[in-house]
Amino acid sequence: MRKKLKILLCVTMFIAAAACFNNSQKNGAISSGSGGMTDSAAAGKKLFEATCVRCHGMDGSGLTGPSLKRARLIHAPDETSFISVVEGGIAGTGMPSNWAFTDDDCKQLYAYVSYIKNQGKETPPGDSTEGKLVYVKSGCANCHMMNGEGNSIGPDLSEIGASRNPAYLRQALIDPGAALPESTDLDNGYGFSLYLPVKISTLDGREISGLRINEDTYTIQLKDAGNNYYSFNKDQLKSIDKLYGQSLMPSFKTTLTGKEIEDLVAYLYKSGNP
Amino acid sequence: MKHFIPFIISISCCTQIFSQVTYQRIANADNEPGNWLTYSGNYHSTRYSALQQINTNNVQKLAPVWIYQLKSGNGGFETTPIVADKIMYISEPPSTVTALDAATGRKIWSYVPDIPKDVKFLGFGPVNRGVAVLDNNVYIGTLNAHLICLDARSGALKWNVIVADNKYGYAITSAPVAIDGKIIIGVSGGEAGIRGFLDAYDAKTGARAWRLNTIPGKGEPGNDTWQGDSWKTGGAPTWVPGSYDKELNLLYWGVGNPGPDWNGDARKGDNLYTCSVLAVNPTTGKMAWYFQFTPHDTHDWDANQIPVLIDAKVNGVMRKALATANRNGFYYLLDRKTGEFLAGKAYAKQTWATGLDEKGRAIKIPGKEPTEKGNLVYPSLQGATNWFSPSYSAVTGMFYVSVREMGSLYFKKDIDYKPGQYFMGGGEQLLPGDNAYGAVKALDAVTGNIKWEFRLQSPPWSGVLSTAGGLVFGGSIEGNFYALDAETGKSKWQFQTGGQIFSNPMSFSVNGEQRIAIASGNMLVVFGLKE
Repeated sequence: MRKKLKILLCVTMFIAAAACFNNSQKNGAISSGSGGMTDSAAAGKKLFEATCVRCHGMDGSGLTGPSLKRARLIHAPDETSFISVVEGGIAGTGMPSNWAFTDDDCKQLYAYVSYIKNQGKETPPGDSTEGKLVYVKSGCANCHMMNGEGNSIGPDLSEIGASRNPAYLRQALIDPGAALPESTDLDNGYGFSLYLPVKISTLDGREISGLRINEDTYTIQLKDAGNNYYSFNKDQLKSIDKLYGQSLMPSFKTTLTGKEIEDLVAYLYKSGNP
Repeated sequence: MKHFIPFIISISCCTQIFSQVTYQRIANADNEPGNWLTYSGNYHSTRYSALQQINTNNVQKLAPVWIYQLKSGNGGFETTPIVADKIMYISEPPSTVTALDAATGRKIWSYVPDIPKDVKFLGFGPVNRGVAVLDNNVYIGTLNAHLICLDARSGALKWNVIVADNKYGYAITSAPVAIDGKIIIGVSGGEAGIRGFLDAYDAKTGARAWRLNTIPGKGEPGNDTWQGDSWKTGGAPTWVPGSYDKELNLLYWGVGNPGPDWNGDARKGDNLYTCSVLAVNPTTGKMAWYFQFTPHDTHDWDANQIPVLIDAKVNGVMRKALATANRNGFYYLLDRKTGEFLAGKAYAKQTWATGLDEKGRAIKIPGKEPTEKGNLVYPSLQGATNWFSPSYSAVTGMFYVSVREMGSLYFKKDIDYKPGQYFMGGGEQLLPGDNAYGAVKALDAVTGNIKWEFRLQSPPWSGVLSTAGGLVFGGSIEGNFYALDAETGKSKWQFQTGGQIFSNPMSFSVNGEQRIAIASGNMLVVFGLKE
């Protein structure tokens, strides 16, 4: 079998970075013996664990994809729309279409997702009001835009809580290099780490460090810490160093207290979870 | 009366332009390199163009001459055009046929078959890879598993026959192969529990001439390689065009994966003739020999790659050989008269076998089967290569192939057969990060030794074309269409097409000018030299 659409199946699985996968293991899986799970939900659990966990987490509380532990899923509030989303994806998001899922599979998945949405829902323990002060004090807006304010070097945080769970946000603050998501934009090719720091040396002696925006076999595009844009043909370059495991974002592990980090997580999580 | 004479002369000239694409012309396609008469350019499937107007010295001047935009469907644009006598015939997703003026890209006619809204295409997209031409006809296999014959001059329907019942998951995405009086067509459906076959139809009437089941039935040799009744739903599709040796009168056709794909527990045995190449006498429909690349496959490494027929000196003796870079990561050279294994070796990273034995059978490493928790194996489910075409140049003696360097975690799941539904029994999970990449590799066609490698950003879905101009053309998933030096692999030119390339390049000439064509995104782009 070929097949182009197999890529789409795979996309559901490869969005999270390895560290995120480890993170999901910390979250722990729901025990299969959970009471009250129907046969349909139990079958859905198998499908979920084989396909959905890489983005939505082992327990559905989210990784690079959103937490499913919500009273109401924005794009999939009922079974019909849920089937449509699973089979057809959500345009403009990382949720791909899944050609391999039948309607029956989707119904089983829906039964499982309906079951878990009230199981162990994680509420960030911090104070989001205090977190907003931490956000300002820490200079997050120097790189991030939120609700139209701030700089646009890093990702926009206006709706970040809708797609990132508290554990992911916490890790991004403590070890941002371990939390680079992969792109699901077809124009990024395959397996493309977003916000990857790169160091470029040109044949004419320039050194540029920044975030990779896009890349193909022949060219690379990036922007530096001043948000200046660059594009190079690779044959103009002496070297390209891709700094996997690193991030332009500093770790706040030692510059913020544990409480401040939790407050900031609560503030970020609230963006997208009003 | 005198006005009629020039008119009649004019009609006569037009008849010359629309001359028939006879079997003899196709069989001798190398005599007219300005045309591209089959999916792979010729019956030997070398995807090699003898045109050399575009070459290593001037390829930097290559630029788009015209573009055709997709008019129908939402599937990928995967066609390889056919060009005959200044007319280009393409397929558009899902199963539309369009004839274009090869000089300008202007449409001559289109035929849109009636495809039901509930058409099943289980395990692939609603795509089509091309048409076949023979005499005054154009042939297409449709997504709902029909075979259709159209008038080449108008697109008018001549006949439409049902190849198989689409409700069971049979479908057609492959270009047919037209030989002397017969149209050969294979089917998709390896993820739906079909029992695969290869069919031949009378080119004039559409009557079925023969059917070769690619899984032997009860009492037939090879049926004992299946456990119980597993052969009835064992897959073995035939979804990529084959090749033809007119002297030996043998067709060579790749056979796909067994079903369920990733759970082999209920189909113990070698599962013949899955993951094999078959040599078939097209007169009788009888199999002459087979060679199985991956016995008892559990990774979906079907053998639906284009078999390339080459004549080469092996150990000092000229052999009529069949070369193929298989999805399982190994390159094979077989004697195409007998099926004897001549040479083979890995051309990509693979972790499932220590090598090939003296008969070419892979020496499997234990513990590489899919598991419930996932088992990391190279190559990935999509294979080290896939349906997209390789190319062979007799000038360089090299076999060029697009390679996908990546691994997968393979999962096994329980599955029961339900007619017309997925029957796969597992799946894959790709490794995170940018650790996968692609390449075009040039192999010594006789030994399989890698002569050069051109690295690509991502694993590709584009085939390659080699030319007498000393070039190898190919495409990337990021949209780069490029030309490499066929001897060294050094890049000579590239153009960003702006769409993902899931197709094969081809070449033709019109009005004395060479063209290179590639489908990319929603466009067919035709390139030529610009001064």
